[in-house]
Amino acid sequence: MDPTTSKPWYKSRTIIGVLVSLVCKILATATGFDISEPAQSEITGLVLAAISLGGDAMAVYGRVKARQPIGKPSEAGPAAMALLLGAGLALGGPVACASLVETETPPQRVYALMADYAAAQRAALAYIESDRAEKAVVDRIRQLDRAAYDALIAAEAAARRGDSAAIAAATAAAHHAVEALAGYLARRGIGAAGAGPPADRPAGRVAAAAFGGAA
Amino acid sequence: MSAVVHYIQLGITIADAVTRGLAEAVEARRLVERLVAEGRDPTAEEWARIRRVIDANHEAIQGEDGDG
Repeated sequence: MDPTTSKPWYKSRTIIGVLVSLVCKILATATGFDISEPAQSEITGLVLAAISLGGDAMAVYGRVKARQPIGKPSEAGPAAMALLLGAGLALGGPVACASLVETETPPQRVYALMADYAAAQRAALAYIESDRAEKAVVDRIRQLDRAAYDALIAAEAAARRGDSAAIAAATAAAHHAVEALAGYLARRGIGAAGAGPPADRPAGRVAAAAFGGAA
Repeated sequence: MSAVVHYIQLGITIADAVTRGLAEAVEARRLVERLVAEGRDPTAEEWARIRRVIDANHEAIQGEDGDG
């Protein structure tokens, strides 16, 4: 692609349309507020118009005020995407994390952990299947996924058997393993719903780790 | 420029997957809330449903290195 003739990504109707659609999906999931496709198209047009106007204004401002060269455009990509993902996950995370529900029985607790594990797997899969996946990261994800899977299967078996001697340890191990996977994905900037807090841990810290903060 | 486009494509792919995962997670959370409200444990069918999801994801994540 020739950078001198190609259109900037932020002026692409396709990309802005996908981003608008994504934000609308997150909003619909998190709040139940559904935005119709025609309305999304209108929003996309408005965003493009705003970008165009903003770009013109910035060009004029930059001409007048610029004193030093700006950074390479490629430096903006990861940061902008991290911001977008962070905003989306911050919006959707708290309503999606099943482990944050105060469960009353071990089977309910294990079921909630399995739900969060499934969400983490989705994010991991998207990364693995992308053309930017790094082998070392994929290997680590696979290792953490195996540990979480095995721990959850053991916890499920103990919970369904009603094996009171094994349930507590198995559930704690499963929680730890799911948290490890979600925490790793968060640290790598691969957003994922994650394990909620065990009884002895504050909710805020674990939720922050699961949805993109420091683990 | 192409690096920006690649990052955007990756971001969109992941964000879309997370959104889909989020929808499933929200549904699962609602089920857990319902279980608590109804004072019951998951049925065999509910266990089977979540197992199908995590088994399929697990198999896809493990790829050819899969442990079955």
